[in-house]
Order: sequence, then C-alpha cells, then structure tokens
Amino acid sequence: MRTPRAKTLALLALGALLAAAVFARVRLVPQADIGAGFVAKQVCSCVFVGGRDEQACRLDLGPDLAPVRSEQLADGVHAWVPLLASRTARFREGTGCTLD
Amino acid sequence: MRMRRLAAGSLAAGALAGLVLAIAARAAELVPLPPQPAGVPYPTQAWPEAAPGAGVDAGRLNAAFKSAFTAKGRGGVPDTRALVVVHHGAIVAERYAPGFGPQSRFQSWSMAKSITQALIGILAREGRLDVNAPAPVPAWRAPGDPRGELTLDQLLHMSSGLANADGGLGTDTFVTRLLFGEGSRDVFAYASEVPLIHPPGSFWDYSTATSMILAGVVGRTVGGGREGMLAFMRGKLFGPLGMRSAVPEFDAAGTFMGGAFVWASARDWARFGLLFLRDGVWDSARVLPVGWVDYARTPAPAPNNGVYGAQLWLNLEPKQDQFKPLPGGPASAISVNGNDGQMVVIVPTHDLVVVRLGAMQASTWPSVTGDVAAAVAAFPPLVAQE
Repeated sequence: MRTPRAKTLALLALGALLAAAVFARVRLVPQADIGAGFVAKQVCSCVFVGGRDEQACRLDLGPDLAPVRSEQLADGVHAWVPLLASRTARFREGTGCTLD
Repeated sequence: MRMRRLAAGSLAAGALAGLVLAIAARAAELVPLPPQPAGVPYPTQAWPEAAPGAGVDAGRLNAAFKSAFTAKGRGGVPDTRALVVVHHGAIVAERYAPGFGPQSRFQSWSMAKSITQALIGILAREGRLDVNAPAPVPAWRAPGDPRGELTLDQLLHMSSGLANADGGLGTDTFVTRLLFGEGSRDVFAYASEVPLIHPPGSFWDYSTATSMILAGVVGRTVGGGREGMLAFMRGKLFGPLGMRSAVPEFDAAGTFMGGAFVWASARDWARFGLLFLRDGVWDSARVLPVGWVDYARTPAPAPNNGVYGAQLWLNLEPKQDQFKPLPGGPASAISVNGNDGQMVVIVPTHDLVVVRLGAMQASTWPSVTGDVAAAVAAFPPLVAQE
C-alpha cells in the first residue's frame, strides 16, 4: 500500500520527468538539431570540397561541439547527438554538400 | 492590412526616390574604378604574377604578411590560411598556411552574398529581372499581402523589414536554424515565410535569409532546379572569369545557398574581386550591367545604415550596431566579407584586391582587418585624394 507521502513523491517525480521532457523538446532538441546539422554540413564540405581530413575539419569546429558525434561516409558525413538529433550531409560532384 | 499596404507602398516609392537621389548625390563622390593596365591579360586562364612595383613599400608588405600568419589556432594552424594581393591586375604577393595552397578551396560564409548579388546583376543586364520591381516570391503574391511590394533593391540593401535578421551570435538563432536546423531543408520558404516588422526600405538589418531569398529568385528565374542554377552560374559568372574551383552548395529543395555556401580557391576569390574593380567588365565583355558596381558601392538609403551597399560592405562611417569593414583603410574600399574573417577587399584608389581567408580562432576581426589594412598601406594611391 502506498502512503500519502509516497504518492506525493511519485507525483513530484512524474512532474520533474515531464518538465525535463518539455525542456528537452523545446530547448535541447532544436539545439541538438542545429549542432548535428552544423557538424554534418561543415565536416562534409571541409572534407569533400575543401580536401582536408576529417580530424582537421573537426578540430576547426572547436570543443563546444564535442557532444555532437560524427562519422564520415563514402559520400558524406553523418552527425548526431545521442537520443536527440541526427543529420546527414551528402556530397555531389559540382554542388558540394547538401543537408538531408 | 490595407493601411499597412498603403503605408508600405508610399514608403517603397519614397525609398525608390531616395535611392535615385542617393545615387545622384554620391555619383560625384565615387572614385573612378581603374582600368586593366595595357598589356596585362585578365586572369581567365592563369594569373599574371609580378614583383611589387615602384612605389610599393616592400618592407611594410612583408611585415603585414608576417603579422597575418602569426596568430595560430587549434592544432597550431595559422588562422590566416590564404593571403593574396593583386596589384594592377597581377598577383604581387601570396602566401598560404601549411596544408593549404593555390588549389585549396575555402568557404565563403557570407561572401556568397556578393556572388548572389552578381547573379542578380547578370539577370538585370539580360532584362530578366528588374531590381526596382516587386521581388517574384511566391509566398508574397496573395492579394493584399504587404510583402508583395518588396523590391529586389530593398532585399539587396538588407532593408526588407522582414523578421528574418540573423539574430546575434547564439547557438539557436534565425540564421543557425536557417543554415543548419529546421530551415535548412528549404531555405527559400523558411527565409520568405516571415512577417514584415518594419516598412520595406526603412530599416537596415543584416539577414542571411534575405540573401537566400535573392538566390531563390535567381534560381526560379533561371529554371531547371539545381542543375539549371549550376549551369547558369558556370555559364555566366564562374566560366567567363575562369573561377574553375568554385563550388556553390544547395539545400535539399534545390535552392542555391546564396547567403553562405560557396567554396573557391583564394585565386578565384581574387578573380571575383577583380570583376568589381574593373566595373563589371571582364576582358572586354560586360558581365555586370553598366552602373551595377556603382550601385553596389552606394550605401543603402535606410537611415540606420552607413556601411552597407548591395550585398557588400563599404569602408564608410558606420551607424549604430554596424562596423567599419577596414578601419584605417581607404574610404573607397569595398569589402566582400564572411564569417571568421573571410575578406575580399577591393580598393579602387590603389588598384588593389586583397584576399584573406581562413579561421578566427586566435585572431579577431580587429587583428584581421588590421593586417589587411597594413598590406593595403604598403601600396601607393593612384591619385593623391585619400
């Protein structure tokens, strides 16, 4: 049997979870989406159009973007923030990189 | 709505009259654009190269170059990755950071806006666009829409009054959403489907979105989607100038990202600068219409603007919240600027083009412009007017 105190605690926890979810949706997801888009596009263009290696391209973006992970593909770059956002930029000869 | 439309209409007419007057008033002040020296070929194939000529302070030029490559960012790479000086139509000084060279392509950031501007100019010369006519933007064409009055001229002058200004330096701003976030899949729609917050022409505000609208207008005028636009850019601008390294980038909807994304070598950016220095003429063929460069280097008439022309910067007196593109440099200088210190500086009084490309990790705008201004100062003016 739940005591009233346990009920209050459960409600508080649920409220905190909801608040966190709303915060994530409203604040974190757009930021993560922009971050993933930025890393995917910048690294794709830097590698495929600028002709530099991926590591040098990531270094240029700086430590603030460390939470955004990226992986070079055969024809582009995929970047993501776990659980929040994911973008891919694809390279085409002549027109560089395009975000999906 | 009707009141707003009337107000917008009369304001637009007023702005147009103001523009005509402003051009008339400034025409006398604009210094002449120097012609290509006899015997020096346009760099359509290869760049002519020469030693700095008589009157050039070589010591000062060397010092400016040395200073420019001093600031080193992450990984020990100099922030200045390319520095090229073109004097009297020939490259007289050129240096690259380790790992970069004449073949390396560099990112334009906002220098792309001036490419977009040139494309509008080409279509104006061909009679396919009228800069003083309402901009053909589908989202604004409903009857009674106050945005239907907005002209290409007002867009070129960053004075649209639309609620799409870049919005500062934060992570989540209009420009970052446009380039990398929710707006990036269709920049033309995202940039144009916003309300007016100032009467058109009355308020200057820097907007990458506005340049995307201009690029979208060019794309729709040319037709053929991404491939049609690429063919137009190559056929009418990059090809004639010999900008063989230029790579324009697009969104998923096929719009040229004309506010921010063109890649080209430093030598090709110098070719683009030379086109403006030569009044839009390239090797006896006219690329930009008569008077277009003068239009571009005349300040937008909005009262809160002092240093912005048509999609490029002028080295005049800035108004509040603006900055002078080349402090200490000649007032005649025109600057094609991009994020992180990208600059193509065109100096009519000295017959110069200076290109600085790279990063801004250890350097700052004042240090970058200081180095470029120091390089310019090593050259003698053509006439003793500045």
